[in-house]
Amino acid sequence: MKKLKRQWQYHLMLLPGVILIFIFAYIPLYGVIIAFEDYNPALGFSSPWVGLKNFEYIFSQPAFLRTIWNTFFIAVAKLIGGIVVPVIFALLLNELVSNRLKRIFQTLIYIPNFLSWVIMAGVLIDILSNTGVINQFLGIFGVGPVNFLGNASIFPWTMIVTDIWKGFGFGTVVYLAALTSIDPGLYESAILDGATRWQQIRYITLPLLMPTIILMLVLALGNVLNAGFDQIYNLYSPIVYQTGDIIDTYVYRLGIEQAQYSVGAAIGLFKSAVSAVLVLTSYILADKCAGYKIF
Amino acid sequence: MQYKTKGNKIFNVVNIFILTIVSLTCILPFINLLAISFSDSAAVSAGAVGFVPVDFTLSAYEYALKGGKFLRALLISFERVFLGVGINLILMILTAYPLSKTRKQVTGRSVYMVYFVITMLVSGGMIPTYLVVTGLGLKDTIWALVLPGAVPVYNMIILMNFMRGIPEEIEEAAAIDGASPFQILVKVLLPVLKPALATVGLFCIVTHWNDWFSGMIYMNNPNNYPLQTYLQTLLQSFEQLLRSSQGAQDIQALLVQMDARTGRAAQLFLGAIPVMIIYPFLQKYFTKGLVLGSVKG
Amino acid sequence: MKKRKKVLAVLLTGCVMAGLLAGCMEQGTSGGSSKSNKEAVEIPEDPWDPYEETVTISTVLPENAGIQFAEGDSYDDNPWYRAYKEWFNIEVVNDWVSNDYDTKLNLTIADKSIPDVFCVDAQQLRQLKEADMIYDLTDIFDEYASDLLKGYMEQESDTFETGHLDGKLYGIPQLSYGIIDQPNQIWIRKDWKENLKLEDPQTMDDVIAIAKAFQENYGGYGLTENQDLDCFKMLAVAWGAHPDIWVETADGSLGYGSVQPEMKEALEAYTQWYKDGIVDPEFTTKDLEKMLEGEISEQTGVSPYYQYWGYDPGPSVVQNLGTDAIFEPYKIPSANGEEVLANVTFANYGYIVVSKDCKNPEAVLKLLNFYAHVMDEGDQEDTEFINELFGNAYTNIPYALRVINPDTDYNQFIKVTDTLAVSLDEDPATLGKDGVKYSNCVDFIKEGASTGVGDYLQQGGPKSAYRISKEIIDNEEYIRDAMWGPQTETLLSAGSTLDDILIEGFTKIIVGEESIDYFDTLVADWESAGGAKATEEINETYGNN
Repeated sequence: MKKLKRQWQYHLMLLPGVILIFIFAYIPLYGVIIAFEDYNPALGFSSPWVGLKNFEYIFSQPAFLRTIWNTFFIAVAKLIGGIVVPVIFALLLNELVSNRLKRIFQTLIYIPNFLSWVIMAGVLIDILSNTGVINQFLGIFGVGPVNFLGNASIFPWTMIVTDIWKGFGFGTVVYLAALTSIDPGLYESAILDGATRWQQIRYITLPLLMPTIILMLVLALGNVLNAGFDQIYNLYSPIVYQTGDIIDTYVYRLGIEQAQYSVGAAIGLFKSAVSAVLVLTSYILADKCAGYKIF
Repeated sequence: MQYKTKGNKIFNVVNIFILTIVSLTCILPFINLLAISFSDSAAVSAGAVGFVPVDFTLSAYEYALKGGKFLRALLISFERVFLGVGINLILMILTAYPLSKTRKQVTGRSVYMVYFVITMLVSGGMIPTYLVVTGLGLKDTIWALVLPGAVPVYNMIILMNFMRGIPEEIEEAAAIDGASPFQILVKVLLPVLKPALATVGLFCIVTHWNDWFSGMIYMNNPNNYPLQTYLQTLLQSFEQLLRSSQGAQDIQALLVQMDARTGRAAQLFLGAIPVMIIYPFLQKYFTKGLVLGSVKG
Repeated sequence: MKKRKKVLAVLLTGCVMAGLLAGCMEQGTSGGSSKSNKEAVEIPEDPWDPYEETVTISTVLPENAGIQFAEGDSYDDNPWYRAYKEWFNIEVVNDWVSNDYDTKLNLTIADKSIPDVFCVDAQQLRQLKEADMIYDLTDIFDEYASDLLKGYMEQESDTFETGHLDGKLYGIPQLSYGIIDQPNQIWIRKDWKENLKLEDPQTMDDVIAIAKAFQENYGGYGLTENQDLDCFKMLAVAWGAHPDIWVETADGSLGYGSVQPEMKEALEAYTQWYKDGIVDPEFTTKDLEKMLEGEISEQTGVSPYYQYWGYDPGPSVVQNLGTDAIFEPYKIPSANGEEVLANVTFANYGYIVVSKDCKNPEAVLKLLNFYAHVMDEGDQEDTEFINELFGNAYTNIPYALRVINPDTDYNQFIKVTDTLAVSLDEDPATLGKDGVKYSNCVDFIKEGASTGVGDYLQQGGPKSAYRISKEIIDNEEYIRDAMWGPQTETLLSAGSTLDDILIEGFTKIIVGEESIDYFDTLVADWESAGGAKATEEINETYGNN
């Protein structure tokens, strides 16, 4: 009886969220049918039905397949780096004794997050040019000049590194917040047992951080086919299409700007399907192998 | 707490060194942009501005601030953030809490979870969402900017996982004293969750603050644009003018007024400053050690 | 403390509920043009007489960044709208004003809340007609359009035809300010050229000689370029190639200019220039803005560019380097001794359509007549009245309520240069709407004002872009895009990806990653990606005239 009463309250809490999600996320879902139509806004959702034509069209484009590979490569590398780097920095920051320093560094590394890619691209093109700061620095060691943005085999790596650099402050904040929830008593007793700093990280911090890491990983997987439109669109050029063109930039050039809503919807559906599979797989893997339930 | 060994000292020095270098790389572009925003457009268009303004001028800011539009847009943005983040937080807390329970504690938990997760993966797209919003009569009101994203599922899941990390004993103690789930949530959990709330709160603030697109499609009059939409229009229309001078007989005055890059840089600062001011206040919560240990005893 | 939190929670929950309620209550009022007349108002006999009863016409506008509203003016209340009311008793109201006109318009169409009169592109025109949402304007145009307006359409009969679907006029084309703004020029830095005592270029070899001379004496590189190969494409006409437009090929059928053999010749020469270090070695990573930066920072003195060099980067060059450092335009000379024909593309800004729900569609024609009248016969009206309409950059307020005289820019150029030739002290007010151009040119000639360099190099200067383009038009040294109208289906759905294949391939050839023979492979790739189909469609739609 008492349990039922408690239950009732839980469901009441969920109600507002469920209703709002239904109105603003589920009702609009009928819009995915335009992926199977030759959508004409004036005719609305009863536009001519074309079946899988939009999908066939996209996949028949010779340049589309390479964009899938590019998207996966760039996205997965960003994903891995986007986990490893912030974790390392969260640990480094956590090791700082001075709280003030900790706070200053944390603020500074978060700053690039406030800069949009349009802005950042302008700066990066300067820094990475043949006469830019980076190449001048490499010149000291007799390397280069490296054409970071104009060489097709280097371009994806430039995207990966700059993206991680721009975003790691965000992840670091999440991991730091998770670190604060670790019971300091654990470290105290570890130190009493004579554990080194590395051993503390290895046996206390990392294991306790693992659920957050896996959580962030799975959430990021849902996003894996968005390899960073804003970034790449502002930095790429025809000479690096071979390795740098991703699904979103390609679809953009296919004319989504010219209101090709049906093609856009078809691509969206394709991406949803892939990310659903990825998220589901990783969820099961995390559950079976590591015993973490993310959702 | 740490042993003052030699190794530790070296580690500390190296650690601070690395963090300093990396932090510097993060701040330099920002300084560069600050310099650009205060420089004369002529010098900027020649690519001659480094970290110090050349021919100091406020013209890019004057341009953006002209006519009181900026302040009006700023107020709308504040309204949106307060309302939007308030709603976000309440709904996130309310949904995350029951979902942080097990299937046994809350019947149908998995169904709810799937219900929410699906919306992260599939979206109906711009047009049907627009039709729903206008169908509800929300078009041209602040609610059009706030309600469609009222439940940020991504952040809600992060919050839910934070809630799971809290030891069960805390809640159990309160439950034995006869507290209802609502009371436990408000009195026991929320105080402990401050760092987590600050984290997801920050993400929500940044999302609301930076979103310019919904303002663009839901507002019927540029006078009702929130700040980022307004700033975006400054930029966009300027670049449109640059790109197509076809017959546009009125561009020269604008072109002389400012260079696109000084304008962008000024936009960035005006747009980012309010969030950057909030950040240190929230940060207090990120670094503050959590007092979980004290509850245990 | 605890209490406060509870109160806060309750308050915020209340907000959510209130918002939802407010949303529900307002539901009835949404849905656009509720302000329009429910019934038709009787039409006065004389076309310039006001209606007895006020006619309300709703429209939509894009936001215009250049606009500087005078005190009390706004998009909803301005000299144009006041004149409509005064002259015709027509009240024009804006359903919305948006910075993203295209998206907002598509949403408005999807929402079925279209205004009475608005401006669309060819695709939207077809879609609206299919959905039976817009008026057949054939008869109304015949009956109410002024002779002036009909004259424009006769002059541009091909363009007028594109507004017809199934033989009926659904969209009135807005036409354009004229094709005089289309030909491109080679811009050469004035002081460098004078210092080195170089002659005006007569051939492409001369241009290269100038570029080399600049390089030897001033460093940097010879020719500007960017990642989209804009400069190369502008120069290609020198070899008889016509990139980006559809032209008649040797066998009489229509083909895409970018894949014709002339293009290969142009590419071969250009590749050699890149190899010789004349073309900017870092062009692959430069966008247009970065490219212009090279001119302002004195890296180069030769740039193939659009007619508006004087507006961008002109003022920056003047401010940084002084008035003598301006680049002056020269006609793109031939590379092979044959006549050079400039590219001219379909010039029409959009189509004016009228909603089926509009009760007084003829009112729209009256407003179009009004625009043509004040634009072309402004000297019959009070100068102050005309200046009010065109001052403060109000030119674009009648966004959907205007058809533009396709000779506007051409006539303006003649008026401005003729006046300049007579005197530099004319009162600009006497030139009406062209007064600003005139006074800007004077400002540059007299004081070297950077605000005037744009108009000076476009029109007023002894070497100006329009001076060259006028010659090209008068002598018919141009070739019109065979696709004189909307894009065909394949081109629409391929967006820019077909062109991207070519740009990517051309770039590889230029930088030496591929040999010139790769051109043929590239053309085959382009054809299989949809180029062949597009060519077929173009021949079907626009062929055999």
